[in-house]
Amino acid sequence: MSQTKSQVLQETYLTVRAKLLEIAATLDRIDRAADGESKIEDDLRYTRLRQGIHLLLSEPAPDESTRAELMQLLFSRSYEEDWPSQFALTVKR
Amino acid sequence: MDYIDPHIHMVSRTTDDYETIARMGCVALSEPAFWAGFDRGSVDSFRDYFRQLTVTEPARAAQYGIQHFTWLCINAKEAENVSLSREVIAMIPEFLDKPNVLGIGEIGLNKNTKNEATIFLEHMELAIKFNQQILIHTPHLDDKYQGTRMILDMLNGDSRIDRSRVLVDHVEDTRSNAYWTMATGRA
Repeated sequence: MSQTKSQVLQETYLTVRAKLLEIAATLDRIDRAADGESKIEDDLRYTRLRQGIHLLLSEPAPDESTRAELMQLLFSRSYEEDWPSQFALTVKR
Repeated sequence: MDYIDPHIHMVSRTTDDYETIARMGCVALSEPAFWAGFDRGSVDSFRDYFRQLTVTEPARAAQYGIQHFTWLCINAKEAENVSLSREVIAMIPEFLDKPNVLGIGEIGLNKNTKNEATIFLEHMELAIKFNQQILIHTPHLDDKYQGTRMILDMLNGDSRIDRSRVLVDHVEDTRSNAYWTMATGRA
């Protein structure tokens, strides 16, 4: 039997709350830390983290990709269909 | 409750760990060949490793009532060394008739390079030639999506592959393309 929204929330609330606190504390630590040789804003990883946070607030339509799928793709190298020819390998399709 | 551990690397664990997992109910485990933490220098290094997987570890496991099974390959990370990989692939058949060998694995990609893909295809040929099951390692982190799709391209493109005898591990999305899938050690 599938769960209701409230049941899912009940089960996961404390875990998610803890993860959000950790993210908030991490961003605070970054803000408090001194600048290094380069600006943190120039670090692609920092940009991705902020994009990921914004993604959490999105509300995909039922026929669109889920937040989890979009988050996975945000942190993934892109797939190129012609990779076999780039590698000069024979891979049948 | 008895359980089977489907993916665990006992070569890097002490005998205390066998005792602990036995106490927790482990009755059998599956140990794929993997990267040792450094790049091995010769095919003989791999021969010794495979001897450990097919002789020593089953004996260690049996002391605690655990059945030890294993998979053989040169892992994706060391597959970047194509010449060594080919020597290892040529040597693997020496061990395929050992009673605890389940097949070829955990083969896959690491940084999704040409050399890794080349050796993956050659492992596939080995598995097909010797009618072996295949255990797949999908890459970690940023390389997972790209590498998993490349792996599936290579598997799907060969009609000789029996998908019911292929297990794709470390998945984060269980749409399986009719392969067996597993979600151990995801990252």
